[in-house]
Amino acid sequence: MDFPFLVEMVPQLVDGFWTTLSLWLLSLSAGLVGAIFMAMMRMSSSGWLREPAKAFITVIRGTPLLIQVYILYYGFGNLFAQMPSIRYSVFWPVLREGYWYAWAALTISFAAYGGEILRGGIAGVPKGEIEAARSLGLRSWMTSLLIILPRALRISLPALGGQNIILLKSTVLASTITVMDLLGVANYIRMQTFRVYEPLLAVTAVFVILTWISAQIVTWLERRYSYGAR
Amino acid sequence: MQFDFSTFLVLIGFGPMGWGAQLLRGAATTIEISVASYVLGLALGLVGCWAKLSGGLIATRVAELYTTLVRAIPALLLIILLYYTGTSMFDAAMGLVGLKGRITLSGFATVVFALGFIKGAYMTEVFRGAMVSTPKGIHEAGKALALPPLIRFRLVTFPLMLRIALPGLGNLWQSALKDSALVSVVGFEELLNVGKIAASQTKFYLSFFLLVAAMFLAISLISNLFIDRLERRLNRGFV
Repeated sequence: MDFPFLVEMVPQLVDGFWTTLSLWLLSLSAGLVGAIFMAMMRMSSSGWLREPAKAFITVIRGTPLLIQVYILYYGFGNLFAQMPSIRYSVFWPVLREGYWYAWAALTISFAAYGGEILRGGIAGVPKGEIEAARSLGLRSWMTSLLIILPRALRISLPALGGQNIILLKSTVLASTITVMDLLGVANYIRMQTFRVYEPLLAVTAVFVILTWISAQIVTWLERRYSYGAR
Repeated sequence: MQFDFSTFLVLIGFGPMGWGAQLLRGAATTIEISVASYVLGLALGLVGCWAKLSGGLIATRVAELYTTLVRAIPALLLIILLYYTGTSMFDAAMGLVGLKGRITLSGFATVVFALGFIKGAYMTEVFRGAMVSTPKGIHEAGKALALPPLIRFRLVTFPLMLRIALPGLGNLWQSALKDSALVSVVGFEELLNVGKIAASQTKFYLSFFLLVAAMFLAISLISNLFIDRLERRLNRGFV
């Protein structure tokens, strides 16, 4: 281990860290919203909503995320580049960046996996609580928003926390589509200097710390929202 | 470039211009590395489970370090790390026993080792969870019958544990299959890598990646059928 070299690569790694962190948090927040919609569609009484959601979840969960990233970036990315209406539009600076394709793939993935978790959570909300809310005069949408959703989120919190860590670890796939996240930076340093251990081990350490922190946050949330003894 | 379906049909066919044969070979390789790494993971998981539950202090600590670290590090990062360091470590180990250069690690073995090493950590947790939830009286009954430890494990603990572990093991198979696509990043020629090469040479990016995704989905759905059947079989008499 060469410590001066390690210090030398810190600025680059810090840049990569911010990319990884923003990619993670942005896809987490969008993915959570998507997961709520997926769960609602999945539990809808209308087959026109339920079946597409079911098929979508099966496809997303049955194929490797890396392929989904490639389909979005290479597949749709090339398609967009060939359409003059998109190629010369104001959206091109966004649609050119691998970052946003990675974000989209991660968001879709979290929505699919998280949707299934939330579905279990919604099914686990005690019937009596829903009936109590209705008998207090809450409308159906208010019951969903104020009673079912918070309770379902609390029930699924441990599983969502696990999925969140999977999401964090999946952000490294962005490095395969030219994004300079932590692994992208490490690979760049590796190719420039022919040193394998230092950059990769530094990134490994960052991920271990990030995983630990997010596990702590979930534990704290679980305790914070435990609503008395259970 | 307009999408031309008849051209694409030729490109995925088995003619001189077609990628059909390569894609099928890629799919076979994907299944091979998934199965091999899964089996390696099973073995590592059993050892890890033993170390965590009945090993000595050092074995327990090592197993804890193994599962904590591996599960905290992105699989792609571990694969790159193990792929580049694994070969040199293996060469060094061979050097120690005086076989330097005589036995080298093939790409296949390196990839399987990397994937299996990752799966082993998750397997350890699945087995440990299953082992903990087997009723205690059964182990005591086995002991009371004076069955030797290995036979007790094979005849009593393992069959009981397997039933509980099966959903977890099924999930891990699905993830082993999906994780195997990651080794395309280090240049190993499995299904996704073949698709990538085909896509970049023919410029049919979207179509080839969609096709590869469909092939993965097919493998995953077919194996699901087997897992469901196995689960029903092991659960007979319980539901």
